[in-house]
Amino acid sequence: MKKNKEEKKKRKRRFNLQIFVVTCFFIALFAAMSVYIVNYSVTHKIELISNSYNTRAKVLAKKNIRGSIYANDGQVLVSSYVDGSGTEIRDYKFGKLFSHVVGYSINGRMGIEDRYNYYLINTNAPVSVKAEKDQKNEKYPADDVYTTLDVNLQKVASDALGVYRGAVIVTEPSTGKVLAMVSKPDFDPALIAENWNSYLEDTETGVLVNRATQGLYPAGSTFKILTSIEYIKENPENYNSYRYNCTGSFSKGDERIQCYHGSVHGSLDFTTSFAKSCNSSFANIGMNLNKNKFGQTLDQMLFNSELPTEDFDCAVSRLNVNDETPDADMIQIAIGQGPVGISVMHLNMVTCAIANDGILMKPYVVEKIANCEGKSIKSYKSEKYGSIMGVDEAKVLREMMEAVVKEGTGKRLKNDNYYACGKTGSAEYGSVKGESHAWFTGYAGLYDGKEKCEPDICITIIVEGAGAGGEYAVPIAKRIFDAYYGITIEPE
Amino acid sequence: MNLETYINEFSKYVIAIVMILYTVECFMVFLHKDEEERKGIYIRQNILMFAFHFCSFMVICFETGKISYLLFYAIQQMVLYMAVVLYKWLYPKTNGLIVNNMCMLMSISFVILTRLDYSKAVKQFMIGSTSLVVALIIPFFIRNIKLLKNLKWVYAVAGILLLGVVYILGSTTYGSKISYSIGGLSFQPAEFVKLIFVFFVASALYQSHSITEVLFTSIVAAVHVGIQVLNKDLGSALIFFVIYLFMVFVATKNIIYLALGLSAGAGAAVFAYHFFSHIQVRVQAFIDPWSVIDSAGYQITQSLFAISSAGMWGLGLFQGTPNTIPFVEDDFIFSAIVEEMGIIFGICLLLVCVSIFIMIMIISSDLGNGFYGLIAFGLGICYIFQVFLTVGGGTKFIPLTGVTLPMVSYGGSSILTTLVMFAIIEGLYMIREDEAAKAKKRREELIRKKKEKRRKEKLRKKKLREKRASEEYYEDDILAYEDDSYEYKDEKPARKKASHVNKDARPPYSKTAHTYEEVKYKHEVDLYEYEEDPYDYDPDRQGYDGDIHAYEEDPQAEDDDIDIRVSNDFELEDYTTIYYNEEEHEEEQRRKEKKKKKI
Repeated sequence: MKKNKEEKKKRKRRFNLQIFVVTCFFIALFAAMSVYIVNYSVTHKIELISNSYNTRAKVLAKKNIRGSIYANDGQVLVSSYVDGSGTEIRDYKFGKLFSHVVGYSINGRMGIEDRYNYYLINTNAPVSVKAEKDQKNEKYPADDVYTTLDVNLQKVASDALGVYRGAVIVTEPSTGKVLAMVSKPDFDPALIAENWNSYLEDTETGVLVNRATQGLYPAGSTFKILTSIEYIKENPENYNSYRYNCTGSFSKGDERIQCYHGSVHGSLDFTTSFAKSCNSSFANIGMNLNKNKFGQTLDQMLFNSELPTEDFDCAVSRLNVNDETPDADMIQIAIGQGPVGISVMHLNMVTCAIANDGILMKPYVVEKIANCEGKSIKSYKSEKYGSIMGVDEAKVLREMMEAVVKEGTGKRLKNDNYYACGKTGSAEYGSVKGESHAWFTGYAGLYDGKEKCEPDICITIIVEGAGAGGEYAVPIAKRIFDAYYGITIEPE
Repeated sequence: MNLETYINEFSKYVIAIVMILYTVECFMVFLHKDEEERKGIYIRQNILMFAFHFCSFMVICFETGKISYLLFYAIQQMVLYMAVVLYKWLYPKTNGLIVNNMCMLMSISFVILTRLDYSKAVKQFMIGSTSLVVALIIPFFIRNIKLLKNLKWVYAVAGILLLGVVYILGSTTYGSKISYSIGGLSFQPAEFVKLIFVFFVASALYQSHSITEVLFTSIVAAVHVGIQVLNKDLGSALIFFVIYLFMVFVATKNIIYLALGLSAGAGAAVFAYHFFSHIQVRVQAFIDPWSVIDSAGYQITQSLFAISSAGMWGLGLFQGTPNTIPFVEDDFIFSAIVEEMGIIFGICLLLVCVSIFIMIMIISSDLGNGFYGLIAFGLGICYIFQVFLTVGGGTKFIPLTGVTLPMVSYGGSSILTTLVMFAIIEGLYMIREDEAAKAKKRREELIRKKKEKRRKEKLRKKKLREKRASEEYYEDDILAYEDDSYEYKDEKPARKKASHVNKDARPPYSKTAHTYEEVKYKHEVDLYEYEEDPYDYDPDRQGYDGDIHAYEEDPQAEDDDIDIRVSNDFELEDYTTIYYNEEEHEEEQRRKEKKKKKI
């Protein structure tokens, strides 16, 4: 036994500490490098294939026939086929209808065609299919993309918007699914190559801009939602005891604002100020807000940051409010004028959160990727972003938005089949007085007896330069709600 | 054809799995200490190696439809097989792991080069096979030429001259002066100078770690690095620096040198960054290659495209487009391999390189802190750091420096140097084995002598006893018994009774020593062992005398050096522990004989 211990002692001397340390150092270095390589290649797979310097996309396109894009009911929105001369043709079945949301696959790509390009050019087809195609000397079928888009709602929304420029977004507040997304003016994706130059030259209409996600608009009266949230937050006990007597205008120093179209609303409480969209009353409320806290609330409501929308590139809504913001600006901001710029998607998300007890679900448009035989490769579940407002605030806001339909600017939405709530807006733009964008943002749900069920859909609409929201945007919303609940419109 | 589709689809999985198995075997090697026990592993590795080679070329043939590739494959396979067999035949004591990995890396190289550029693959194959033959004789020289450690000045001058020649006469390729042509053949002297440099540092530092010696080494190292920076060959400049840094650290066992060297290196790097625009360009291309994708960032971004498109199992041979990367065969071969054979394969390749490195470090550790140990260490660092530079550079883990992946990249100088490097290590490994064998022999001799002595003693006592017995033949038996007990009086008293019954019965003293004689003898040998250092005892001993000189000559060296000297005695410990037990000893002898018969 003694001998063994002696041996061990002696053996340890053979071990060279310095060499051991250096060896461990290099092993650690290689371990770190391996982890880095695996991580880099996995996380950058999709991003890098879209780079225009990467020729691999072209190689894949030569090997595989581009995948199809489906609507939520399985209708094909886009598919590819090879014509007699061997060229691959992208067939947009609905023409202009899904122009912005589905996008196009050439000239830098756009929409789903761009975001999911990686899957649309790669294939997970079973080997048997590949062998069969090889035998026929045909391309392999690439993977397909299944969306949440609803063809019917998209059609109704597009028709309802008509010839106006503007945008419509229809989403499911409880899941974040995007059911329809319209931006006008639209274009035919099949003719994108032909018309490319004219689109580029045309800087005035901005055909290629997806107004639903990329456009930043003055929020107008819809911004009163945010002002109200802040007011309720600051006065959780006594917001209901707010009273104001509207004389048609509100002045602070040199700054003077008027109610829309010179209306005089008279005596108002908090809810009726909101329902009737009284500018003077809200300017007054704005003056009573804590500017710093208001700024924080706005940041919490996703102002000044990237929206959590993985399927879309949205413009960042900008609005900074703090102690240094002058009062003159505050009365403008409180009614959504002045330096307020908001994207349609952003307003839709805020409305969804109100309808969903303050919890925001991340909007998404692609449900799953599947191979040519429909076998799921990857699926996307609805994902919670988090709570952007309190449950109580959301509840009060819902009551107020209901009042808008009952007694305010959204009366046209009143009906017996479903309940609808919302807020209208008429956002003045440019220097010409009186010209305004018509806004509507709101949601609808069914009755269960006298009780209201959870809201089903949420709609946000902007009609550029149309006029008052109540007159131009609300009827569009009505048509979409009706279509969603399967109500045929009776001719008036 | 249908079959083709299936082969293309499944071959990549087969190739990756074969590579995984091969890598696992690489590390299984470290579980066994004896080369003899590793034989099974080595044979399995050879089978996997050929499986990989065969699979890959089958795919290449199907994809290209060229039968000529089949012939090329057959010749390659033959050469690699010959390499494995020849090494084992010429040098029975070589380390199988290094030989196997060398051949595995070469076959990976031939596969990917054939896929990238057939003509380059053929050229590389020619150079590779010639280099293999050249490398075959290297271990012999390393083992037998004892002069190598005294050529300090020769190494220093040769290294600086070779690099200087490139600076003065070398041709500039893509901004860097790296090659020099003689008679139509283009050489990259920096590759060879790496080896010379390792020999230089080892010969300068194995004797003395005095400040003057370290300073001298540092100056020569600085000249090497400086010339390479002027040649704009940043990769080899860094390699020289790192070899120098770690070798000084291990030779002197002084962490202060490492810290000093690192800070000096960092200072020099900052200085160089401000004064050389090509370094600034490299750094810019590392920090944000996307902003300079048209110019300095083009290479690295193309490499990143390749790696990111690979996926775990790769795209399969001929399914990707690695040729879009400029210089893919030289600096970015790893990216090409990853793209077509997969991330798993790439990581396994790195692990194979790491296993070579670990083996070299073990050899170095076993060789002790003398000249040979330092050489093994320096070459190991040279190898692994080069792998790190090229793979890290190609994947944007570190800035790009443009060095080749040893054994795999296209390049004659590179493959020749690496093969020579491995051959040197094989030579060192054999020196280590020789030393072990010598020590074993000495130990055996020692044991034999002792045994002889014991036997004679025993015989003498027996005779004495017999003589006494015959003299007192008529006296009582008890007397003889008493005589016995006198002899054994140090032992347990119980012994007396037993001896009375049967003198030859074995006492239950020890599990390893079976007779009283053995027990006593063992005790004696133990004493003997701790009294004397057999190395001092043996004046003919060769190999480590340098260390002993160092110990004797350097009055400043203290305990540290004694430790070093003792650490060289490992063989003695090993074999003394093993051969105490006679049975085991005999078995070992038998095994040895069998081995001889086999050979």
